[in-house]
Amino acid sequence: MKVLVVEDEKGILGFVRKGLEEQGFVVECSRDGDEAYLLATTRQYDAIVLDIMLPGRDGLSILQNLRKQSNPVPVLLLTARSELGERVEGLNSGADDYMTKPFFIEELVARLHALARRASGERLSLLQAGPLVVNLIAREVKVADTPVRLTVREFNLLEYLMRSPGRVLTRTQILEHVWGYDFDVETNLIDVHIQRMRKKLGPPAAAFIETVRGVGYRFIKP
Amino acid sequence: MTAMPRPRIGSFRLRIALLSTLLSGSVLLAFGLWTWQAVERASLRRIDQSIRDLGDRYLGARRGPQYWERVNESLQFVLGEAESNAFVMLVRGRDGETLHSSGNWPAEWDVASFPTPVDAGFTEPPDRWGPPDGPMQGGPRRGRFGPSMRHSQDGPPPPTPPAGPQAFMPPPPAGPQGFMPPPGPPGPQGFMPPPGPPGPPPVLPIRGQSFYTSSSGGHSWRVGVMANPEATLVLGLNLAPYTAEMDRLRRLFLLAAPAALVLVALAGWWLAQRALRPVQALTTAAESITAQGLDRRIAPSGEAEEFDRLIRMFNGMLDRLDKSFRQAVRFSADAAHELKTPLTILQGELAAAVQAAEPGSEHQQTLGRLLEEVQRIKTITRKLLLLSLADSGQLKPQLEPVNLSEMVEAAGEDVQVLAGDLRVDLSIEPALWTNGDPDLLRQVIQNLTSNSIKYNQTGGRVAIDLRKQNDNLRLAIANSGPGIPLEDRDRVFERFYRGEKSRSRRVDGTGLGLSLAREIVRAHRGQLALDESRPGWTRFSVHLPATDPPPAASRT
Repeated sequence: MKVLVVEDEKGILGFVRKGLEEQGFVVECSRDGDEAYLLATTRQYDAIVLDIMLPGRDGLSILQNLRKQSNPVPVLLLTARSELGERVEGLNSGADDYMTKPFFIEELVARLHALARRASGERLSLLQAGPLVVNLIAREVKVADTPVRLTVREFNLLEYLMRSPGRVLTRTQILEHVWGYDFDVETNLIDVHIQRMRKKLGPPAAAFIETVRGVGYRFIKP
Repeated sequence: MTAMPRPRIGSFRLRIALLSTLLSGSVLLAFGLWTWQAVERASLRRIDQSIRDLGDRYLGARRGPQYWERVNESLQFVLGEAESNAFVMLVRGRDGETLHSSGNWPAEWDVASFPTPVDAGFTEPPDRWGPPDGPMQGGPRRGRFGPSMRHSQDGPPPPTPPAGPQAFMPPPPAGPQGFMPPPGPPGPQGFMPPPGPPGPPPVLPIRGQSFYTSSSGGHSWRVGVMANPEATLVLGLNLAPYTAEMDRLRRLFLLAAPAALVLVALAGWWLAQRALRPVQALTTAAESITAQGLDRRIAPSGEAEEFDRLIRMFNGMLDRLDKSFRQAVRFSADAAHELKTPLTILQGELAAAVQAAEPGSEHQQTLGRLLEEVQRIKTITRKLLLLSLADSGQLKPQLEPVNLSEMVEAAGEDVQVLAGDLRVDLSIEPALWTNGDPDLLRQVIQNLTSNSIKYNQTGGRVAIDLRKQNDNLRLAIANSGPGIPLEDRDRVFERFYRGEKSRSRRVDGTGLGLSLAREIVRAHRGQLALDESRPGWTRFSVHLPATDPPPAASRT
């Protein structure tokens, strides 16, 4: 999967490139709006990650021009400032998704995958790990064909963990994704949910969710 | 003044009106009293003058037989026969004997208390001025003869000849031509002046004129005491006509003064209103100016220089306020924005480092803790940014249908998980929708639920209630606990406010949550309020406009 990342901040560009490449993406980078527009119109990408504030042409005008030329490439906007306004403007300009800085690379990866799937018309309905099967459309969980009843939170938590197998997910990262943007409550909320979920899933599947001491959790695919 | 419907303007207007009424009332009263006294003095002087004139007339002449009786009759005639109480009269001789006393002479007035001619200083015998029955009648003295206007009810009285059978000795001289005997036929006891050489009659000196007011028998008298060498005349005139006149004057004043005062009060009220009109305009304008309307200015009234100066000054103040407010808003927006780029890098690099580190190692745990701190800064930065947006009136949530029931349900679930020792009562009406920004609304609910845990007591209770009330959704989140102290109730929505209890106990939080929650709810055209707070129970409530569920109410 080939992605163009347009971002003028060297530091951000650095870790995004690294993170995406780790996840198996082919990454091309640009730190200038005019250059990025040239790349976007001349080369083929599966998705574009586009910062709004750029030297030269800004992100929104690149996006609008692409859409004017009927270029359907999925675009994910990165916004920083007055996020509400930019978000609305971005979505109106034809963006497929947006993310607010600061963001976690796992989140970006998950969203890029979702965009690519949507673009290809494919719908991933099942996540599977050994006897554990998660049906994302019916929102059903089965362990060795036995249905397991999970709450909304537990289901979302399991889905999030299974989407980034092998990655260490910190508690705050999980909170941000599953519970919403930010949460002041102590992070033991996740610990309690994980314990309950493990109990419901039963011995073999429960072990797939590994505790990383002092940091968070990790889903281990058998 | 506190009971006035409009305490500020009303009271000032009223004060001005009252003050002007009071001032003009005092002036009017003082003027009235002064006029009253002046009129009184003038009237008394006039009466005294009449008495003096009469005295001059009667004492200036030598007396004949029955002289004083005739004087009495003459006075009765002049002052009105019908009114027996028009005057009182007493005449004392040199030896203190009563030469004459009018029939109505008050008994309580001691005759002996009036001076005799000797007392008045006429120590020499009266013969010195000629024989008592001298040929000459009284004449003008000190040029002060002639009838007093007050007693002449029908023209110059003295020469009027008596119509009655009794001959009458007209005591006063009629004028410069001296006394002429009446041409009418003389009565049986007709008094004819003895013949004598014509010429000015001899004049008796008069002394000891004194005047005072006294009352007796229900009447007030103005009494004059005068003496010539032969007799002392005490003549009192009834003050009734004078009193009646003064009464009329008083009545007039008492009637006119209140009317004048009412007019002055109305004028004062009107004037005050006119004078305060620019102030009222200023107040209305100032009231309409909030953080979102700081760019508003007040147009000069053009009425008066003083007010225009005030308005200029006020506008100048608004300019400065607007400028510093804009600066503050821009500063926090800029600061939040500027923080985002380094935060993104920091978080990205730290997250990458956590992945790369040896799982479960000390190193990884340190990185994990750092990442959580970054998360905390991120949270504060975002809240500050949202608050600065709210302050500049730019917190405009992107509205979409939100299933509030589900959102509250999930939050309630979290409370149950987080606070194992608390009893959690959930009462949530299903499928209630509102238009809002899900991220922002979630933030509000999370803030309130997490507060209900933070500020609770061990073994306490949390009650979450969501229902539809008319066109609104009402979410009430209540908890047991120490409650919010009375003095802090207005401050809980202030920024960086944190309750005493939360500082002594270890509770996470920034002190921005409630303030931001209120701004968010406002931006959704709703209300967030502290409903109830007493020791042991605190309840916040959120009102949001309800909306119909979308046609395809898929999961959120």
